[in-house]
Amino acid sequence: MRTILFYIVFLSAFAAKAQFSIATYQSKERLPESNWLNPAFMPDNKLVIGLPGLSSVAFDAGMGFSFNDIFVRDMNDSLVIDKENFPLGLKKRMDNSLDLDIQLLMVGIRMGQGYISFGSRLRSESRVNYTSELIKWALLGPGDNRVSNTIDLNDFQAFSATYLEYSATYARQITDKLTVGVRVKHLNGLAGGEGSQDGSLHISADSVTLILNNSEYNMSGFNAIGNYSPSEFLSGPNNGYGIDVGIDFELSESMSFSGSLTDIGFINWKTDIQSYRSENINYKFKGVDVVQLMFDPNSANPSNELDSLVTLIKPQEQTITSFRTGLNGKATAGVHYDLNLLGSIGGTVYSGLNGGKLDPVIGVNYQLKLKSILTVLAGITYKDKSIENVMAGLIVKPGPVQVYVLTDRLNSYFVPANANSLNLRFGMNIAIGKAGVNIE
Amino acid sequence: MKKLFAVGFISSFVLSGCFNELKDLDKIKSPELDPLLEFPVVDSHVIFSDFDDQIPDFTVGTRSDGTTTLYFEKELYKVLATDYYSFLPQASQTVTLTGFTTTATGSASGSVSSIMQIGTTNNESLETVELNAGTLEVSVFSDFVNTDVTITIRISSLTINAVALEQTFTVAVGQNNFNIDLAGAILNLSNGPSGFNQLPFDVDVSLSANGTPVTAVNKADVKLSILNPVFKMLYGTAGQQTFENRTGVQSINVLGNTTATEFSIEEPKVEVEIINSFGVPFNVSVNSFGVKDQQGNTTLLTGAAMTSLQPYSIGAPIPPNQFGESVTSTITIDHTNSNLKDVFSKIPVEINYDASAEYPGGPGKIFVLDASQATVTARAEIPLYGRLNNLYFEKQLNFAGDFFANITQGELIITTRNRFPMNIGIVMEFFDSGGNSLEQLFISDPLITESPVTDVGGRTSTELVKETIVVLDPNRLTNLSNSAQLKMYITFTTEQGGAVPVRFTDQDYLDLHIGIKGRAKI
Repeated sequence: MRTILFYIVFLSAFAAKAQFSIATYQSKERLPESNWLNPAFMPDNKLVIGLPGLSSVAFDAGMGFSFNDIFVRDMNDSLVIDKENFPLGLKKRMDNSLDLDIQLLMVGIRMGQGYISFGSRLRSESRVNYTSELIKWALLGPGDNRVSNTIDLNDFQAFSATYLEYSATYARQITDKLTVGVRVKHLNGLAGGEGSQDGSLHISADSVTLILNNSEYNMSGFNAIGNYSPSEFLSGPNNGYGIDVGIDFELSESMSFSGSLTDIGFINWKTDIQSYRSENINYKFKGVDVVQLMFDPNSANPSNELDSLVTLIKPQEQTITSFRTGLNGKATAGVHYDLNLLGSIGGTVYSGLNGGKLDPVIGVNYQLKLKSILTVLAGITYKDKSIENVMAGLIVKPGPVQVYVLTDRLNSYFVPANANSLNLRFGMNIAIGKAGVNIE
Repeated sequence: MKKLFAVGFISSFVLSGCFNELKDLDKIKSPELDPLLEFPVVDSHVIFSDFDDQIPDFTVGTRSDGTTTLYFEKELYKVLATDYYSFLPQASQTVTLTGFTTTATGSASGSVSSIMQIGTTNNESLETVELNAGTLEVSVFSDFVNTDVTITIRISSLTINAVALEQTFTVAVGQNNFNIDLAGAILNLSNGPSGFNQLPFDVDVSLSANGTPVTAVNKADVKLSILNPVFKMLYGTAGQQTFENRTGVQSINVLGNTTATEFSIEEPKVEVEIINSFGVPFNVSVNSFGVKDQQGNTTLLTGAAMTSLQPYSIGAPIPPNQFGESVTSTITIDHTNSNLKDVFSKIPVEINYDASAEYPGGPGKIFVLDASQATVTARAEIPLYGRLNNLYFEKQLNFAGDFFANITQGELIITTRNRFPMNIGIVMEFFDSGGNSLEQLFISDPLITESPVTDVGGRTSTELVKETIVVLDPNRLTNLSNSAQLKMYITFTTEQGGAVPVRFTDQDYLDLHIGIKGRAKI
């Protein structure tokens, strides 16, 4: 387990945009795990049990570009970096993400008009943001007139949080049409960190200018995570709290609208703190003063100039006893239209709330339901300026055992070279009884 | 079975896609990146005041008409009073007090007058001396046995705090020495018969026998000495005093090896200021003043102004009302009364001078204070109003060209903004560590920046901006990357090839910016 945790945290360091699954969201009452995405969603069954480690394993990884974006074939059938189309096709702000969600335990019971559930999940959400100018500088250079010669350092951000989540959820049908749900969560932080800075870096034939302000990087638990005792793993000093809220509203007999805000909360990190801060820098180099150099050969030495800049930039470790990171908040809205015997169609809009920048993922899907035994879901999602992502899902429940696999990026598995992201959720639940029908 | 087949089919489909991609991984070529980089290399903003620290003893300022002017100040000569004048230690002749007789319990007294002759260094006839420090030693040898003896010294010409010296000492048998502090003492040496260099004094003795009669052969010998005197003021008359010559060399080599076909400063000026705070009139001579050029040739300053300094008699403050004051004379040397313009047209690298002074002597009264001094100071004013043609100098610097090794092709972007009223040309020559020439830049077009337009007064009207692109081809980049030394050849030429004088002002500047734009091999 410690090794797995280590890899989760390690991989998190390379990653970014918060995990989500539109296919899971659209599964609604067919899949108990949809409740994680909207606490107002209630399963069809009276009792659902998610077995430890088996009931739900989900991951989502995004890089912003694919293998085939980077490479093209040359005349010798070798793969070379596409120095023209690759960098110029990138969006300005690059989001790398790696999110993992392993459901450790979940028990849910329908009680009249309500639904109550308790659960625990091991979660890891990480993101690294950077500007695509960095790639453009490396491939085309800041001297290329298609590339900005200024990098906005505000675009460099890193966030990572691996934690154990304990939650209690209650959803209730308030009226014939409206269902609301709320979940409260206690979080046990295992490892996490956050870093950001303000400023810019400009390089031109005229000058090199570096402005760096408020550069601060805090980390917790990265050294300690491999050494947690079982009790520390289950309940350590890095306490956090969160809340999810959601609604599900029937606009008509066949059409419903839903919305949720999830992962609103924070973690106070207190264990194994490492904190680094750079001095505020306002540095400008316009060139060697050759006239001064003529009179005093030691007056201007470019390598000394570089050394002093490196010294300025080098982060200094500082002593702090704690820091706080927010969770990756998410906002989701969905619409669901029942086509009766022909199944249903749905649409979902989702966006992460962190970083103050909305970068929505949009999905539309068709769902074919064969009684409660089989649910087949297919659709497309729009993400990262791409509408080529195929959403698919299969939920099979021949008896009390429900097995499912869902993805927003089916095509990533068929043509990995075109994949700029991966998404998958799979698992097995025990679902007993039909809501509204007594269990015999 | 059907389900198993379906799962197998789908899995094979997915895996085959993955295997295709894995096969492609072997086809990835090592990336060869050559981004187009831009980087600033040189940035200089040149104004004349920047040269303030570079030229020893020169300052850069602005003349009243706005012309940028170099100011140079050098003390050519200095005489300190304490180097040539002093008040020597003095001693009187021994005065003997004898011939007294008393009974075994009787008493007697007597008095003797004498004069201390004052010796001087340079045959001065001193009338008054004021001392900062010194000691009057009273030395008494007595053989009056069993007798109470007191000696009183009275020197009415020696006052301390305006009180004439009178002190009484009890004398024992044998040698006695008594000291009196002379700090602040004023000695009037004119009360003797000669009227100078004499200090009269009186010695009184009083005897009282205690059981042994005083006989006529008993005596007391008294001698006065002035020990370790330090004068504050000497006053009297003095004989001729010649002060030693002072020669000096001042380097003003600013640009290193410099040549020019035309170099002319139109309005140079040198003010020679002579200050005398001695109470002694001096003859000051600036025996020679000249400059040495790059070739070692010396050009001497000549003309009426210079003649007037060979010698120049400067008066002195008059005693006693002008004690502590000074007399100042200033002689202006310019192109109207000397060959100064020619002197500065030699592109001097060194200034040489020789100066001396003497007091010719005479009947008049003089004074010398311990702080008295005479100085001769030259103040040169070199307004940058003149003409240049091919003023040329070169400078060699260490240059690590490794930076260019990673550049495959590119160009230097040279931007100049010139407000100096002259053309400025630069040629850069790069050498390897063995001193072999590898590359020359701007050799075909050394005129990096041209002279802007000037008005009738020779002042620049507006700056001139010029951008030059130098292509760095692979061969040139290889040469630059192997460079270890950089030699810069710089030329300046004013308007119309130096035919018309131009004027530099504090508004003038040269901005030189060199940036590089090129593909870097990573």
